[in-house]
Amino acid sequence: MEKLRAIRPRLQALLGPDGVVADALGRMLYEYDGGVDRGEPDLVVFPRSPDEVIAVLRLAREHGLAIIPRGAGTGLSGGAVARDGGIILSLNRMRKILSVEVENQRARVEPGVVNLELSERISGTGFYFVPDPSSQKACTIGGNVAENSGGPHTLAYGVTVNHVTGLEVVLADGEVLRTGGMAPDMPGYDLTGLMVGSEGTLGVVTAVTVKLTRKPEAVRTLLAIYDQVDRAAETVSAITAAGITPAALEMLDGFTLRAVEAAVQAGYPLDSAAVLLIEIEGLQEEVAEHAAAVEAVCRQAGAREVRQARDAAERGRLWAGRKQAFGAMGRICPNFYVMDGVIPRTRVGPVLRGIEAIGQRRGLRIGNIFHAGDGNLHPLVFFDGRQAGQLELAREASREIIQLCVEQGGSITGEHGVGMEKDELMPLIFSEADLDFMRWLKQAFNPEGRLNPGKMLPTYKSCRETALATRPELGKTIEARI
Amino acid sequence: MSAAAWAEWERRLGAEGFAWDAGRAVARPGDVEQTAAVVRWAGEEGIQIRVGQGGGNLAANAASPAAGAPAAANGGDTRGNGGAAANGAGAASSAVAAAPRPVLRLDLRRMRRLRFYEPGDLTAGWDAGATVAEVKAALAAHGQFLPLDGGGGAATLGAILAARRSGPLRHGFGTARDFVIGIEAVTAAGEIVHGGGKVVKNVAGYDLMRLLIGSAGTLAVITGVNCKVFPALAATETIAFTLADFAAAERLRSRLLHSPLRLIAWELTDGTVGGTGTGADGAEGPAAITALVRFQGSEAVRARYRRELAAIAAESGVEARAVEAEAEMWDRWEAERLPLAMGAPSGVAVELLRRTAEMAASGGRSLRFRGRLALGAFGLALAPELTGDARAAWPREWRTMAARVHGDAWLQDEAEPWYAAWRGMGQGARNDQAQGVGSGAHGDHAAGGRDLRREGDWMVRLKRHLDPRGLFGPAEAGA
Repeated sequence: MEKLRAIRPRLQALLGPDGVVADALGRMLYEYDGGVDRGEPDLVVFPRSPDEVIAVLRLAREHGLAIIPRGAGTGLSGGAVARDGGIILSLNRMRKILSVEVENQRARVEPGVVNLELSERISGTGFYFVPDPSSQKACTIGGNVAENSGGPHTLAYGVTVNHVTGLEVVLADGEVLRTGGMAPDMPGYDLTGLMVGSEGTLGVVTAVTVKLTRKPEAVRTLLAIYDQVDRAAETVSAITAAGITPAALEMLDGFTLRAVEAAVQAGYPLDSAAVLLIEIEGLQEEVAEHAAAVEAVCRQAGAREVRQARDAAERGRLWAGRKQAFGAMGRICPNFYVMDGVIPRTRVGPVLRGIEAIGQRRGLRIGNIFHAGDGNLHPLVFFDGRQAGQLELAREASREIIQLCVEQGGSITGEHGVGMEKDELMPLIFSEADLDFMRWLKQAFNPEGRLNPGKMLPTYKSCRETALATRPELGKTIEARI
Repeated sequence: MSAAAWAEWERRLGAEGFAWDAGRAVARPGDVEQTAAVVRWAGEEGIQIRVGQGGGNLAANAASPAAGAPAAANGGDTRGNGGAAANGAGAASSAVAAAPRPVLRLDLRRMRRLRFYEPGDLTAGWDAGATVAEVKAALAAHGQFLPLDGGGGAATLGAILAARRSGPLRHGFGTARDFVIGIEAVTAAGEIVHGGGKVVKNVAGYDLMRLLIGSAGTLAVITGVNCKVFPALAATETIAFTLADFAAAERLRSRLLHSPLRLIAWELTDGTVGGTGTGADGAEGPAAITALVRFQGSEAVRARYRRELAAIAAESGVEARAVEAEAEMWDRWEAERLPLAMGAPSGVAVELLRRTAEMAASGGRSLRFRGRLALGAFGLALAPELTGDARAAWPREWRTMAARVHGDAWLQDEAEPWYAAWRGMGQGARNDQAQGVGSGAHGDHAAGGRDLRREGDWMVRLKRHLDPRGLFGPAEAGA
């Protein structure tokens, strides 16, 4: 408290009266991000420039306070939540597009630029920024960098790290480090790649150099409709095996698509057990061939019907169902927990059955809407947060689902990040030596541990033992990891 | 170090695990545990470790024993003289301060196991000592492949990754940093650590894959990798454009950039490298600048590419021809290693090549080049090659020249110490001296009076943090 009393007027002098939120109500608005975790920040600050970020970091260092960087707060792993107090550093007011250099296939932006805004701004050039998280209308590019965010189209084009070539980062002591740049393949260690996905634990990003990609000539969107979930799952591996890489390959199970349809009217048939939303991009000739091949694979795998969107409007409707799905879920249950796990694409069927069994055992409804093409599951665990014990029950089910993913050779997160949601689950996939190495790496950039503390790396060494005690068979999974 | 002391190593590692090669001690561990033991022993005994059968651990050399950096090139490095072998070419070994520290080579070629392969998931993992030829053969059996075209078939996966070498297919498929999804390595503490996993999408933990790939064996020994693999290429074709000058090359680059074509390779060469046949078919005079584009697909798709490319050629007034036996040509493409590498933002790279050629010409030399036109990354060579002080001065002169074109342009000379390019990279970009073409990059985030740390300094700092005793490779980086 002493520290806060001392730093507050200095921050206010630096950032102006509207640059600091200190009242209880204002701070309460920043207790959450898009996930289920919460924590109350001591202060929230809104710098407008890299210089102000530097000054905030220097002050925080002087007063020994933690810094939690935050973009739009749409993250789903509690990455932007003040787990144990500290200052939330919102980068929302740094939203300038600094340069667009189409001939260099690059743009340079401030971290608060909204993901979709960049693509919209440059749409006349024929180029766009590829990563497209479902929250792209709100989420910021700085947040995408912190979490190494994905999206439906990462199947063909990769996650955020594949589209970032340089960063400007303010380090814990207020010094500025520029990594990479506009040139390709810069020599030496890939500090840019290390920073992307480091969840705000290594530095505060104040500028991002991104790749711009030529828009495809042709796009075709297919909806494959199934009476059995297993058939849809089999289609996923059959498409992979056929050597076709769609731009996106999404799956919605019957429960989820009905909920979506009620809210969005995307055109998903209400009596189906699952649908696949498949998008193919490229040259017209290529797209026509691949669409025909995919349609044949779907039918062969048991699709009841395969529809192709006739025009952009129909395509937009099909995607609206996918992209607005999370919003639609609010209609059927007060709360839901969006999980994020990854499995090999060959295991989609068995894992979906396993998830259903977990839901039944715990008496919870679980829907599935996910990036099937890269095995990135998003089970939605529905619960009523007003009832005591329900959130805990949902968390337990979620943990069990993640364990199932790990047993199948998968990972605990494909695109949402570890944050404070899953730091304790890291020992499911990493050994103590792995985690120690990561801790030591963090030490190089964030020696006092004041940057986003309590995120990504488990705090307590005992957690591996805890995890193994609950599920001893996981020991083997860990040993057989690589 | 005395022969008797090395004898103890022979005893520990056994006949298979230890060897003398041209007077140098080489450890050949059979698995990751043995690799970790070797690293720990070396740490205890103050021995330095150089990874790679080719000897040098410099990025440019580690990858490709088949391509000009054979072990024998490290002639200066004998028992007890650890300092001399940082560079396979041996041209500037004096650039690394000689330290009387014994050196142990680490050759991972006994570790070549296919660790797992799930064709249905397009994922596979190998020991780092598996060769490109072995990897290709395993994948081809299932109609799949990895774009490992940056070295010969004898190069090991570990070497390719340490050097982050890539070839023409990098245009369509990215570098190893894009397709490696999991990594196993031995740290300077002799610990076995992992990053990533076995699935194609995974953001758990720090990205050790990206950190270690391209680290030239200076942070840890890569012992295993898991990769996202690709469906094998469909039928391919290549078209070559003969270009009158750099201006024509730049016009073609920009024209193709704005076309919807999705090429899998897109190269530019002066014609003396890469085996295009331009200079070798009996034509008089210097070979012309040539751009080559490669595409794949069904006959209908390839016909579309041919049509578009012919139209672009006609419109640009350049000659285009189909390359015969293109697959064989691409196989030979990277056979000759070029000692210099440069990179620049794609929109200024051709201009920088032009100025580089001018700079070479002013010294009475011609510039040879080959590289990724759309990306702005090229291998370079001067003919005749520079030697001695002139060679040592050239990268500095180049960096001064390049900084006026774009602050982010970089050059790596395999004859320089391993960290020189990083430091050099800092010169233009980090001092914000950039003017002229592309200088808008830094915009209102220009350095001003800020305390700006240079990336190269940070790399050295990170090296010291992760390998404080300088166990892996030359430790004089902080000089």
